[in-house]
Amino acid sequence: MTGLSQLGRFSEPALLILISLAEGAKHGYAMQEDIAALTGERPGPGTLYGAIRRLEEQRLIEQLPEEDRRKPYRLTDQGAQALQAELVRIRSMASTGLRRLATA
Amino acid sequence: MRATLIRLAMAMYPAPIRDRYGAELTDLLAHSTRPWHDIADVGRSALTEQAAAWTWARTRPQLRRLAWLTAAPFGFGLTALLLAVCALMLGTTYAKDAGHDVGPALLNVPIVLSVLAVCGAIVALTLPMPRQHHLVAPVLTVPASSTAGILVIANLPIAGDILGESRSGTLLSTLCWCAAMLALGAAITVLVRRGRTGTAVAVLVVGGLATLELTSVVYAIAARPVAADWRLLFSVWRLRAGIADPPWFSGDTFKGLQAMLPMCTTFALTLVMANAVHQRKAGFLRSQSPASPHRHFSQP
Repeated sequence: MTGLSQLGRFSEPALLILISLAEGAKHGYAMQEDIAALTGERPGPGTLYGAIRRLEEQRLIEQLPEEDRRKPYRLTDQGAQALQAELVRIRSMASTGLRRLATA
Repeated sequence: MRATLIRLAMAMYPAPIRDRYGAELTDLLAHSTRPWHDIADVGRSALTEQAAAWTWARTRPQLRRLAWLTAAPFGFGLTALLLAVCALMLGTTYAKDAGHDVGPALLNVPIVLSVLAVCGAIVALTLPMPRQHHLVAPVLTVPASSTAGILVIANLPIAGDILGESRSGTLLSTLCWCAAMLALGAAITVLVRRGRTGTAVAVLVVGGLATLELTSVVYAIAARPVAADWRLLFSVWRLRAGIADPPWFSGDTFKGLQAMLPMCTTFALTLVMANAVHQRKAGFLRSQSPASPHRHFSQP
């Protein structure tokens, strides 16, 4: 399984892209809108496509045929597994942190 | 303005990434509600991609080309000098055999002829260059490396004295030449990109000659700042044989620079023009070819 942490400064945008694509295929602009709604901050085009390139390279997402001059991307099976693992890891980390805060 | 900035930001990406994602990135930038922030983001990401894609093997050919460009003024100067000496020897021998007197004014003729011959050779050799070698940003790299080459020659013990008597004059004149070449190169590239090749050629010729006149004026002011008379400044480019020097200015202080700058101007502007025409043709051919299948960046 490929860890997103190895994507450097693109690891967080990459996770957000995977979450965005979890509900279906989207093109760049739709991903930007979705991530902005999710986090309150719209990723810049360079950051977005830097993460998309790395995710494509690791075969976690793939491009679909062009629609109306826009290129949509979708999650691959490998990408869905990577997202599942990452979210479980984050949930475990968050619950540990919250538990420690409650007992402190 | 926004289109130019977008083009500049996109030009910073490595070519495979630009080919793969360029259209999508440009589309997002063109419709951005906060263009400055997004262009800065694209520029930063492009630099990250360049750093990630950097390899010594990829950089080495570019460095070798830059070294050749920097050494070009040496080559031009040396070739012109050899040709001038040969022409002078032949001319003097012929004139003496024919019983003619060789005056000092006639000594300029072999120099002018050799410079013109080298300029012709430069045009012939430079025109096919963009098809054979990929130069990164020639508008910037060609004048900058030629300037570096001229300034290196200017600081060599004997060659520097041959180039020009006044070091400050040579420095200012060469920097002025570099700035003019950058401006003319940018103008020529834009004109060719817009399909106005005829205007670009006119800008090349007129701008090139005006640059030589301007650099002569700058040299003259730097060499003789106190005696400078503005009414006499515009007649010091001594390649125009037969025109007398202004009384306050000795043309001998110019020496090799007046021959070097025309050759470097011919080289820089011809290369920029040829590169712009080549890119325009390549872009046209790309637009005419059927859509190619997507090429993954990591694949060979």
